[in-house]
Amino acid sequence: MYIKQFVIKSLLGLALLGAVSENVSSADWGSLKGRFVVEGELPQPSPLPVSKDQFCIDSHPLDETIIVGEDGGLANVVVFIRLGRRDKIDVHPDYAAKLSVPVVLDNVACHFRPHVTLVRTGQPMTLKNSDPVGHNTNLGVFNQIIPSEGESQTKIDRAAPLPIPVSCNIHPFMKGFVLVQDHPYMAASDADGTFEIENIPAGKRVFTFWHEQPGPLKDLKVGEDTTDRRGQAEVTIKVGETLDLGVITIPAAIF
Amino acid sequence: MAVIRERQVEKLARTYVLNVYVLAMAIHGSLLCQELSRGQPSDHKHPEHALEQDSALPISSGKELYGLHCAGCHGERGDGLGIAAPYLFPKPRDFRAGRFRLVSSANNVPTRDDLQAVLLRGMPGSSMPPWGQLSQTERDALVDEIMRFRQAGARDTYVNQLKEYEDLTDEEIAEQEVQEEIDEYVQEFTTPGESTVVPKIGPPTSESIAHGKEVYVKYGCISCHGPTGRGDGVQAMWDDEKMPTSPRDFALGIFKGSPEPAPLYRRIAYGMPGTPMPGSSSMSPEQMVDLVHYIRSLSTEAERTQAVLTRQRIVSRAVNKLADDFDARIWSSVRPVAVRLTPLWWRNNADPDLQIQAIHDGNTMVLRFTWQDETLDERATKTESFEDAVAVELYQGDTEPFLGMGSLKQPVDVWFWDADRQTHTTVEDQYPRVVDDIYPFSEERVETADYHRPGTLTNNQPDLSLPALASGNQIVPIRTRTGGTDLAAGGPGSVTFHLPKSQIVTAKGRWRDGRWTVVMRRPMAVESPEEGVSLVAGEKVSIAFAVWNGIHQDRDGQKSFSVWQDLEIEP
Ligand code: HEC
Ligand code: HEC
Repeated sequence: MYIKQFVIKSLLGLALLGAVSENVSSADWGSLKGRFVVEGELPQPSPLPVSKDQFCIDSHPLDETIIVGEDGGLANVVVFIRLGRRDKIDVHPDYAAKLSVPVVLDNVACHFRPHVTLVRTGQPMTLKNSDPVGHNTNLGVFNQIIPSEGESQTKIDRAAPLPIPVSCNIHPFMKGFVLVQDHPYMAASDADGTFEIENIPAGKRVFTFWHEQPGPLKDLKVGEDTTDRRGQAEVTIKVGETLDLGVITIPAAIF
Repeated sequence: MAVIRERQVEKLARTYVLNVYVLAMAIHGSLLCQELSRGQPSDHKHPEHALEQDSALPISSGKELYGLHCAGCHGERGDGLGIAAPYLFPKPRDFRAGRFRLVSSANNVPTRDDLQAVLLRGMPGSSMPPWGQLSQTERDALVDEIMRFRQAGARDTYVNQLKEYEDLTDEEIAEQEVQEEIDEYVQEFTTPGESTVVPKIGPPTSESIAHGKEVYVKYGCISCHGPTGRGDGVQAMWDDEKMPTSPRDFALGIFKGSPEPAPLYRRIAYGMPGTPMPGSSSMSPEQMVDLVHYIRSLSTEAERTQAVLTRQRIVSRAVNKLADDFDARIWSSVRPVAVRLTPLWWRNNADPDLQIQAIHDGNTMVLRFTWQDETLDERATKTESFEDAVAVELYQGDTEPFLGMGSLKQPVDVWFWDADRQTHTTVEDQYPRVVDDIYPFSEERVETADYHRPGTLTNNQPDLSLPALASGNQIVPIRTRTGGTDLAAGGPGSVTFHLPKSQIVTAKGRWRDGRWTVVMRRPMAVESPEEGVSLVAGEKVSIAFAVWNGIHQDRDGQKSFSVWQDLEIEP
């Protein structure tokens, strides 16, 4: 297949001029992990109203806005370091090497996979379609047609302060998010609510906690700190250690 | 009894609403009249003089041109919120936000050429008119103006983000370093990116069209535009402003951007930003070329050309003997001019094929219109019914005013024929045994009252639905015998009736076999400017048209309109 590179500048994005530095000699690294658990009753995800394309109807796509595991683990909570526009951060050699590895955003059984895509500015992104039907992948700032079993290459070179919604206009029930940052320190919680970010330069760091339903998660107890209205809290990463935030409780009432 | 009471209440309630609406209209209308009569009394006698005044300040700057021609739809600030915007669908572009649809660069920023092309061609499929009558320099100045709006919009976006996410204060933002950072951002989002090289596109062949159709299916264009390309692919869609939109029906030959092969190639490559129409960066140039051939094969060159609003010359033939019968012999010897109209509120197949003929004998001008309309709608008295109608807008002068009903400084003369007025049905005919109206302002007849003052009964007007009448509400029939109505307008929403003594247009219409024929006549000379534009043999005036189709609930601002045309009056 003929593949052409094209570059997207995020119109929504704040020009986070915070720079990453490849100079790693001075930095020492630590990690952060934790688990999000919903406290209280939440409705089970309901089937979406799908009227278009027999394939999608037969796939019975679910509403993935709030995915809660059996023991309350909350998936797709996004955790990432907030970098001010003048801030700099060192990048661990492992990450530096990964910058050229494409991130894949696939269409599978009329869902976006992954539901939340994490990508660094300048990192190649492959938009894919594993379905037998056509899709389009629309981030507002760009919108590409992805034929069945086809793919398209792209790259985003402006970070955005929060995840950007992604949709498919052919199948309006499909919904996903893409987070673009100038650094690699970001994660989305998995099916059982856990997340881990490795090799963070040690020191005091501000993290943003976000989920698509409420947006920034405020008033969360995170280690010693509590998140503010922007879902931000300060965490101290120690050299050679993994800081385990343990269970971070999210009241069901906020959804 | 009870039924009648209910009806009365209902009617009273409706009248009340009508009156409130009417009051607003009347205030607007009387302001206009004041302006017209107070400001420039001498201009009325010499329309040319009024013009001189206007052109004394040469309308050269982009800002003035924009204010004159564009602000009515796109808004003074370029935010898409002009006074006419509520009547329009699709909505006028918000220049501050960008999201230009017709771009030929990879970063969604239009080039100057992209914008020039829009101004030359307009955007068929919407109310965006073409501006070919302006000079290249004037259009260039308008392009600058659009870019300025976009730059201001980008600047505000970034400043807001600095405040919201970086907690910068106004003082900090004013610092030079930050200003430079903002400039850099603005620069980046208003500078067009690189553009693909379009390969040479040869003439279509049956193979290329067939191959194009395969690409169309394989790449999933079919999911939206449908198996036959008629836009029958999917369910409802929305654009980025959350307004409904639909995939184009290619058989109509309507293209917002140029349907020529090279620009169409780029449109398919880059999509239409702000709409669901996606770009296709993963297609090979050969596939794209074939797709262009296929899409173009679904419409004819004639259909594509016809979709563009154009300026025509309508010549009023000088004749010895006038005739105003619908089928008078004379009409077969006058070439009808077809004028393309576009609905302000877009719907497919809604452009009436308006044909116009004009004759005069030096004293009286006669215009004959015909257009297709499958349904006869000649009752507008019930709130749920709407009527068919046609209007002519006339303006004399070099610099034409805002297309949508002129402007305060440059009022336009409007000749109006509507099916309902012709049949003279009244509220009482439709709703027997109801009170007709209420007059909250005055019960007494006032001998000398200004006609345009709401709520005053005067001797020189019919005493029916008075406040509504006073404001020129079109659904209130005046019992004039002429069938035609003279109106004046000084901007959108400011339509007012001429005084009864200045009602000099007569008109009649006939609906037969799905076609209206309407004939209007008016003395060419006017006794005073209150009667409208004076028509002089050997001269030229600007003329535009509007058609209302009752079955689609067209009324007031909801109609189909043409751009300015030339009416040349044979000597
Ligand atoms: C009668 C209302 C009206 C007037 C007058 C008008 N426009 Fe528009 N214009 C529109 C509408 C509606 C659209 C959006 C059409 C669409 O998206 O399909 C538009 C779109 C545009 C666009 C966007 C092109 C793109 O690529 O998306 C430009 C540029 C523009 N107009 C410039 C102008 C300028 C300059 C003037 C004055 C000389 C003007 N318009 C006058 C209604 C108007
Ligand atoms: C997700 C739905 C969708 C898909 C897929 C799609 N289109 Fe469109 N297309 C639209 C919509 C919606 C419009 C009308 C946009 C507007 O006028 O605001 C449009 C408009 C167009 C136009 C009109 C351009 C103009 O100048 O007005 C062309 C040509 C076109 N599409 C071609 C294609 C081709 C070729 C493909 C496949 C590669 C395709 N479209 C795939 C939704 C789609």
